[in-house]
Amino acid sequence: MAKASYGYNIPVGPIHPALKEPIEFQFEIEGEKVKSVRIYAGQAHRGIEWMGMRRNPIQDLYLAERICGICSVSHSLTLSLAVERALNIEVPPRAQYIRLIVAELERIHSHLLWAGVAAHEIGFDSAFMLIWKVRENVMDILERITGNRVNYAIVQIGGVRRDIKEEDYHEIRKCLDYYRTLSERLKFLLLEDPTVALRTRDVGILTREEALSLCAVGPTLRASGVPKDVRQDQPYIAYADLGVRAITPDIYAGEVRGDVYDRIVVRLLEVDQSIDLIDRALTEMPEGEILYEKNLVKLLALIKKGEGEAVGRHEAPRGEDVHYVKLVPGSENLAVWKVRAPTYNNLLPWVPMFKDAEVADIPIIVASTDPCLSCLNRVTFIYPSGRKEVLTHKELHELSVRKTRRLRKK
Amino acid sequence: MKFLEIEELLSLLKERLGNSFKSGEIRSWTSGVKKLECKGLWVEIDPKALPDFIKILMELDETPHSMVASAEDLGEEIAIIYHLAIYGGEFNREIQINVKVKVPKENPKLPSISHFIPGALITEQEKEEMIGVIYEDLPERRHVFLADDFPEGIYPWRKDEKGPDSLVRKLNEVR
Repeated sequence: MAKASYGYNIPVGPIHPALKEPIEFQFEIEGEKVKSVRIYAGQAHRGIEWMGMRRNPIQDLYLAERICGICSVSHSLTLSLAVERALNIEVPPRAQYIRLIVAELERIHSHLLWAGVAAHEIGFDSAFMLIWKVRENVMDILERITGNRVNYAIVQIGGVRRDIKEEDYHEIRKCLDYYRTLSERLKFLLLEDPTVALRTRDVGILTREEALSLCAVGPTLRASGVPKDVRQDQPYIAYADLGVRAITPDIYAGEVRGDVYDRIVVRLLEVDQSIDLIDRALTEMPEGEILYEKNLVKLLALIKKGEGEAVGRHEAPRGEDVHYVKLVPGSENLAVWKVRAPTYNNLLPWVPMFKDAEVADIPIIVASTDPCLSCLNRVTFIYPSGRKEVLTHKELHELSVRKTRRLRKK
Repeated sequence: MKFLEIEELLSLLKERLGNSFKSGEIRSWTSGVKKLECKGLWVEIDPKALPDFIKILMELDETPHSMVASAEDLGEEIAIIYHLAIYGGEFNREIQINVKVKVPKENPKLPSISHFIPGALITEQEKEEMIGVIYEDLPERRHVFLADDFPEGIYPWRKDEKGPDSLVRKLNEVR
């Protein structure tokens, strides 16, 4: 019998918080193997850039914060970096350290959230629950510092809106100690587990060359052995003082394979790195002002008079985040605002990752670049006869869990 | 591998691109208590020289990183700015390059760079649908972020009659 060639769609949509656009995959499969994939985004673009160009940068900070539900500080930080560079605003050193601390706390919570999701995708639900439970600790600290678990609203053009109080230092250090003691256990849980290795080793491989030519960013790029990290390549805020080294998987495993396992390694090691960075930032944080200009009316007048264009870049938990802004005199609104979220650049690298993957591996490969998975709701199989069969998220997940069980029995 | 300084790169570009090179400047900013200086290169070139420009970068760094391209409606012209970077991988070694090209609105055609940097494909497709420029040799032409049934001839980032105002007039006014 001739091999039937099936094509089916996996819409990750309709709304995708991390990407700011919905996405749809069309896989061409042969049996269980993925032969090719086409990625479609569209359908519910929110037009945030369009909205932002009708508001002033201070209002845009709050809009930017809502681009992604998880990287709450990343987009507002990147936007304010761009506006500050365009207007030559110098941010007080203490504010730069507070920005670093919040950004690194966010990285811890985001990477833990991701580790939980990845564990869930391969059916390791006890790890998922455990990791999400321990993640609550950093969420509490974020709430303590900023007043909110998500959408912290801490970044202001020219500084930060809240100072870290003396009594909070102790609480933050307690939180860091908590994650330090957990770090080895987390690595044991995810990296030493034979079942996890079976499901993630040599799955969704992205070679170094592919990662570089397709302009992958963040842990997806570093897991392929490329030591690029905006915090290191073009140091900004307090990273310029503290110094960061990009983490590649060979630090832990001694080799680089560029598979899903390596992406777990990179993220777990980055949690350790973040703990270290926050600790050093707390020690070295200078005293002083936290805002360039406290009076918002004056700040807005400065923005209205100012002229310039600049690019802001920040290493968000998912990778390099880029904002371009242009300000023209006489208008307080942004003349141009271009937002580039990390997953934008990590769309194309999905194509080589899916090549020859199994259908049951789709969820973990999609998850491995850390897009927002809340929207991966269903899969549609289209048979050659035109008959459509919809696979729900639950069924696809079940398929993935069954593969884990099957592998474990062997 | 020898790493050029940003000033050397600017003079190299001036020399190699000749008349296609329109303007160039280095902008810097500082961060941290130690006031570490970072620099970015901003150049404007002729759109036809884009492939040559990328080739020069590829001689310096095999795989230049394409961050994104931004676009602006300037009235008679459309400006596209590619944000690129080379030499990443070491502390403060990277050079950020922002290259601007301007195309007239009547004939908004320019060459694609995605043949050299495959990762730039999505951002070029996005520029086509958002501001209505035409990449003559784009490997694949389709909607990326807008729906397939989005009205033709309307470009959300345009500030002229081709802008999206007719689509949003029924919404409550923003601000």
